[in-house]
Amino acid sequence: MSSVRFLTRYSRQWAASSGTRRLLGQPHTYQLAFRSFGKNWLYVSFFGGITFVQLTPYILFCVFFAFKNSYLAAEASAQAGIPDSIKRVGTPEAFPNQYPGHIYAFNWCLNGDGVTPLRGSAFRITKPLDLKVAGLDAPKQNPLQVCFPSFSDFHCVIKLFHSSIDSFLFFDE
Amino acid sequence: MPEAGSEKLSFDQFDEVSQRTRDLLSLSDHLYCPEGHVPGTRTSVRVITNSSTLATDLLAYLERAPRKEPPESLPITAYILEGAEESFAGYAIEEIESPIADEEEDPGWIVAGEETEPEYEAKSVAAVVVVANKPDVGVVVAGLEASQKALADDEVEREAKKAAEEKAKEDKE
Repeated sequence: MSSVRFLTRYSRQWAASSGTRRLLGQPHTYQLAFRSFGKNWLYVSFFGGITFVQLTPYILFCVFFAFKNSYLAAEASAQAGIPDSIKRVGTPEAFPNQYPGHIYAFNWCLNGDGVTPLRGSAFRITKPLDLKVAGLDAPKQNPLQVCFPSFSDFHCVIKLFHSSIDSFLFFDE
Repeated sequence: MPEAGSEKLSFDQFDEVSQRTRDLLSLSDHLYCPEGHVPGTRTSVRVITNSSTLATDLLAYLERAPRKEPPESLPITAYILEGAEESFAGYAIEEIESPIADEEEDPGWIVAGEETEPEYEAKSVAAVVVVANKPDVGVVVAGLEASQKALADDEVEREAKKAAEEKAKEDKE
């Protein structure tokens, strides 16, 4: 006796990459199992049906196209209720309760970093315009040159400790 | 700035302060998260702070980087807490296993019901923690520069190790 799993390309990974996961909620995964009993094969489908069939290439061909067609039909019916204007530009990704400083995707990302904004807003700042959105002032100096006491950077040390010889002695210590 | 795991700072101490800082940041009224590259490199940094002045300064210090959507965790994360009674500065370098991104649109035939395990690669990440009543931008920048240098060194070491392993395999064959 041997068991075989049916091969399908409608996997979760493929469904996610084609954008169907967002449309259908959960992706379709067709789980089939076959087990041979002599010439006959026990066939258990995802939907709970149990049948004995003699597998031939023709039957495999029919099963494959039946599932392919049902998958495409489900995808088409899921898109049926969406207006053309939205289908044209892509899937809806805006949430009505979001506002600057309260973006769900960014909050989840911060959560992954170990910080969950529980009380107020969390502003993602990648450009000076984002500072205005966050209610902050523009930087006075851009780019900002920061000189810190790194012992590998002798010039910075000179700047910091150039005032007297005592400072050099302090640095040597 | 001491590195976690060195004589001056143990991992336990760093973890304790880091967790307390994250908790306090989570309870802050506002979080400002400037992002960008460490100047002169392509190492991405995310700063999570409750200080509006430091956010402005650090945005001016960091080089502007492409904004990734959806947002994801970056190699260097800096947690800066302003208004704390205690004073602390340190950074830690950790190695994590991150899944290799699948760039293929259609992965091809996959066995249904069996999730293929994604391939992982070792990657170093850094966390910088600065806690003070009024954190100094120089201290933060020192932590970021030290972290970037450590990550670059790790990457070089990893590449050399990988090359040596490949060479050993070729020699065996």
